[in-house]
Amino acid sequence: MQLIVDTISKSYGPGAAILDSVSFTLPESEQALLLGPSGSGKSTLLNIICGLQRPDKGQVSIGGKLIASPDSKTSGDSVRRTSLGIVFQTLRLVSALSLRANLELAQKLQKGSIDRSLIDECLEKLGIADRANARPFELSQGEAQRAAIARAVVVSPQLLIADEPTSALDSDNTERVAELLIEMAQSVGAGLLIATHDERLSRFFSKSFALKQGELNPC
Amino acid sequence: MLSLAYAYLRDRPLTTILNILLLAISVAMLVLLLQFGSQFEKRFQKDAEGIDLVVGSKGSPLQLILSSVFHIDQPTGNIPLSSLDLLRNDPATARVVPLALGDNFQGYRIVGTDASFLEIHQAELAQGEMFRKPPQAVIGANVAAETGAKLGQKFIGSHGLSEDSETDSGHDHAPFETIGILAPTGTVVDRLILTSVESVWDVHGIAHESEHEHEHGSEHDHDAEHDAEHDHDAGHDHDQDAEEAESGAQLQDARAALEPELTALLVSYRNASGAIRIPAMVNRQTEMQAAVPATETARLLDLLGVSLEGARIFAWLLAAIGGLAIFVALFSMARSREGDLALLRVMGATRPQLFSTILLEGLVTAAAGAFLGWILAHGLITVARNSFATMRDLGLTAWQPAPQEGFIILAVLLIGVIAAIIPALRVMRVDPAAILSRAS
Repeated sequence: MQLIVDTISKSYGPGAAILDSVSFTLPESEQALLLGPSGSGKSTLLNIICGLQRPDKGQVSIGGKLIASPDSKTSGDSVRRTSLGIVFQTLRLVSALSLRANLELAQKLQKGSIDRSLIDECLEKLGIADRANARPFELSQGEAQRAAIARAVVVSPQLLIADEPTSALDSDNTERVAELLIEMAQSVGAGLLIATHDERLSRFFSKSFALKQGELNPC
Repeated sequence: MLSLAYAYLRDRPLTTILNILLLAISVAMLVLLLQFGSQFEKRFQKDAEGIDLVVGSKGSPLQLILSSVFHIDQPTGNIPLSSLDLLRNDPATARVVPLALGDNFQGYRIVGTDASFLEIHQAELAQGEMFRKPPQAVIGANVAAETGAKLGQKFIGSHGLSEDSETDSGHDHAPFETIGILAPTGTVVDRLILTSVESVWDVHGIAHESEHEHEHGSEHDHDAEHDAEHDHDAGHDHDQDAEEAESGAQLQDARAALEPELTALLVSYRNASGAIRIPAMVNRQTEMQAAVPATETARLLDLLGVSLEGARIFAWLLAAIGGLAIFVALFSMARSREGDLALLRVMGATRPQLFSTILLEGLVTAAAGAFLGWILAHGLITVARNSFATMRDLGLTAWQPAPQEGFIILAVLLIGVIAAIIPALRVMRVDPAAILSRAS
């Protein structure tokens, strides 16, 4: 499912433009890295791509369906629900539920039904099957990040988006998480877009973009 | 969303339990007050049906009604036997039922009366026959069920009107015989043991005319028995006979000194003029008092009503505090849980779904409180009934929900929903992007 980001601009006040006519395309099932230092607007761009924030100008579509535009009538809820799997740096799981219940809830909300065999498969692949009944506060940093990947993958997304997925991890875990994201995206046939400031991830991706001073350029 | 709401409630158990308890206590209080009020009122009205006036010894009219109509208090004293004829001969009375109280069997009051007592309460025999002479007795349906008494069984009454009043009955010489069991009436009769007034006098060693007739009639037999005994004990000591004869004569004198009396009279009027004339006549011209059950019951219910109303206001206040506690818990939770809420939005939860999660939390808390409170109330009624004779005597029954209990439960559910609305609206406005930018 192709992602088209078309001349997106966003500012948080006069003279505070954070994104300036950002455009790029991610063809179906392709993987790309969005590089940029902290405060460069990566998270804002991802929020807009996920339909969580409205751009001042431009639009974003996924598989031909509009997910973000300046028009207040555009609601990204249904496209996000049916097409995206999102991994955040800190917000990983619903605190009151066990890991398995989180995955079931994600499937219920996004797909309308629960596929327990897919959940078991993902947990197995990510090496956290034995932590399925643990509550989020009982998981280690690495386990929690893998749990967040599992939550994004079990909904069989067409595009997997990750925002700073490795920021809190050491080198070994950073590589492991990057490999897992790529592997899991491939296993469900989804495209992958990772926003990060960590240039160590560049070697895993053939396609990278750099976001600097509101402008996006291919690396 | 329901399972998510349940998970959040389970996630903060102390707050949830406290909120549920607050609502449960208020619901329990409201249901108890409702049950006590309505059951007592119904019972009082049913027990007093067919009794226009009660005549008894001077004292508290309410006490007279409680002891003679509802059988839950001590009598005010005794009245002369002649009062029965005085009122029965009055053309304005349709029915005058004598009552002689004073004893119990395992806490069930023994009432000396006559067959007309059954007419008042429209009681009918389920088994056996009506008592006709001492020491025959007819027992109420509950007495039979709870004591396991059967026809033909004999029992000894204890002095006093409650089970714990006296352990040594002193009535061993005059056991009663169960010759009839009444069908259930749903009135106080179910918990009474009925016998003739003469039986009560006999038990207390009070000489009376019918007894004299009975004694005279069997005198020859006694003499014959005595003679026979004499023949067997030819060498018997005559001095001992003389002593026995002397003590027998003293006992006879003592019994003769006790006048046969009654405890109260239950009067039904023949016509309206009775209601004007008879109470006035009794109160002014005799040493007795006349009390009107309807008036005293209304006074009692008024007194009870004031206390019940105060308690009811307190219970609703408690329910409101329960609602406030739910509001505070959900409101502060909405802030502490905003990361989860943002994540849920990202995972595809719609704003109405987030709204309903919070609303469900309020509703589930209120429903748990209402259910627990209802169980608690009826459980307490069961305990009260099993622990306190007065509650049994008043016919208090558990697990018989009144229609108004549905209203109480609905009102408490509404409190839960109202308490959750503002936090739910706040949650619905959660901006995931803002929360995500703060979190990252």
